[in-house]
Amino acid sequence: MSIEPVFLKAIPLLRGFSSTEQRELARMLELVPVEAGVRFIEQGSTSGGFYFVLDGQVRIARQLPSGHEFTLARMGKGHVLGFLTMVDGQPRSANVIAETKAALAHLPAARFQELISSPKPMAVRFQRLLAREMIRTLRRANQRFTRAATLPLEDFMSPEHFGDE
Amino acid sequence: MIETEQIFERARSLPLFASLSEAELQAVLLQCQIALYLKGKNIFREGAHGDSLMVVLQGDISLRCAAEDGVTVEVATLGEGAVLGEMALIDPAPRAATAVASDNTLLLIMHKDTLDQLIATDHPAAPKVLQQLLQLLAGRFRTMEDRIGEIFESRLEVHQPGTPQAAWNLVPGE
Repeated sequence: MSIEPVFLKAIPLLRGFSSTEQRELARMLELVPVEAGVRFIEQGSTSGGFYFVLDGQVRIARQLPSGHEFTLARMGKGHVLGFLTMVDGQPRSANVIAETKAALAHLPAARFQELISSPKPMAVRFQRLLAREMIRTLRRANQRFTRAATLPLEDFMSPEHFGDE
Repeated sequence: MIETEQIFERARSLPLFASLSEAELQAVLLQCQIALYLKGKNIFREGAHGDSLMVVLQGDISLRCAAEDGVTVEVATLGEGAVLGEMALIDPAPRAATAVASDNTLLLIMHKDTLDQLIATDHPAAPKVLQQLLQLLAGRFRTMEDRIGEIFESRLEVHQPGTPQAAWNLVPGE
């Protein structure tokens, strides 16, 4: 299923993209509807690609050596997932599970590489936007680290608000 | 005094510049600055606007943070080859610490404007620097997730047995 470019307007990461670029990106994406409870990224795996959350809520959960699992973050509409493996080729660092019925825009791995290594200006802008997203999440987690002894460990990396930021 | 060639060597060894060709590296370095700070001088203050990357070419830097009672505490020392402020190249933010030259110190400084300019002019160095930056960030991301995992495990040990694990959103072996 293809993606209507209008859905991409709700994604803050793509705010620097022109309408033409959003249309071009939309053509590279596949719409993936996910039922509540479904795990669509599996820790340790290298398969799948990069995802934009178009609707619904997902939980990023890490499986520990002890067998316990804890929630690193909850993400909603407008957020991006799965970039670590796309960037460094290493296995997924966590599971991602749909908490509600969700709609995802999936950029398969090959197309992610195509996008990021394209000679078009869009490629460099996408790299920069992704870097900024990662930096902001890292900073948020760092700030929360100072309160780690008392803080609930969930939401360590979650954005403060979902959706229409 | 440090030789120009040594500055190039130092820059070449930085992960951020690792995939640049000789010509690209030279183009980037042309836009960078070199600053000398005498021993004891402030390089930047905690909370100041940070929009540059700094590489210690020579000397030592002491990073200090204000503690609760107004005294400053040294949180790190950085020697030759140390890099600070990679994130500021993409997303400027207040400096997390005060940096003081603890010896006569020579810094290579790259401003965010330089990277912005490389991007705006479609310079071939831009995607290469960004790709390296993404790699670096991915590494830090994974380290951070590992550390959060360790904190979680340690709290688990402290509280076991019998405390309500649901409070930490614990889903054993889901």
